[in-house]
Amino acid sequence: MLFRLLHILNLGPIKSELNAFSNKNVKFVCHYVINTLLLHRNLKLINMTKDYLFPSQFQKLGWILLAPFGLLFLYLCFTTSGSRVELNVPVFAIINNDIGNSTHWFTFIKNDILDEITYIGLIVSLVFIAFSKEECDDEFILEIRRNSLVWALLINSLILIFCELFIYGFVFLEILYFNLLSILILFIIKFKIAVYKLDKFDEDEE
Amino acid sequence: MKNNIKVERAIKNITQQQLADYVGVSRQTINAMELGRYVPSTLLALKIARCFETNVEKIFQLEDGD
Repeated sequence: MLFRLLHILNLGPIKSELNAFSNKNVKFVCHYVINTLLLHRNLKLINMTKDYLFPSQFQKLGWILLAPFGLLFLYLCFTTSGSRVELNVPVFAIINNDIGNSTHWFTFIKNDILDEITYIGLIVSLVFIAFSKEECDDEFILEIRRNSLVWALLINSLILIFCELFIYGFVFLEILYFNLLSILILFIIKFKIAVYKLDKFDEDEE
Repeated sequence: MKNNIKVERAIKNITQQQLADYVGVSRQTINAMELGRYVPSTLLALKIARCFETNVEKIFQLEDGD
């Protein structure tokens, strides 16, 4: 898979440059990165007041945005590129590569931007739904959120391994495309069910 | 970890909701703690102890195996 990706991106020259690096340099860079990440994490632990969550109103906004972009996504799923509305506009591309053509860096190209709009819209609305505060957000909800996130990551990885083993050809790329969103979707489902259960199966106080 | 929040609540005669409002969490969180499904943070434990005007150890105790 990785080699296929390298081939697609035409990263041959970069690969040989990497080989030119001596082992010692690579080790140093690795240590530097790891220690920076550790330091970053430890500073986080000291300052635990920051939770990176959006205010609770963003959740409603996310659901409202999800409707049009979800419909657009379904429209893209059930139509082929020849038979649907196209929004061809000039766009700036860092890398552009078509099957059979060479790779171009930093160029302007013409592209149908309907799928880009759909994907960005979907990601933004799902992120708003997933990472907004609940109406009553406390440390218990935060723990449920964390557990759901770990669960979603694990299940998503399992799905990915399964697809990697049993699915071949172009369908696999489409699944990778969907996999970008599935982690957020899995998290939202798990988290919302957990919060719903909390409200529903709550023992009545006497 | 076990706790006797429920008993202390009964002594002080306050509801889950009143305790929740005092310490700044949801009623569900208090309920989950009483059922032993959630272990509170140090901060929350201290706040609960302050509400009952006692020490943390009076309300929360370690169990065997903790």
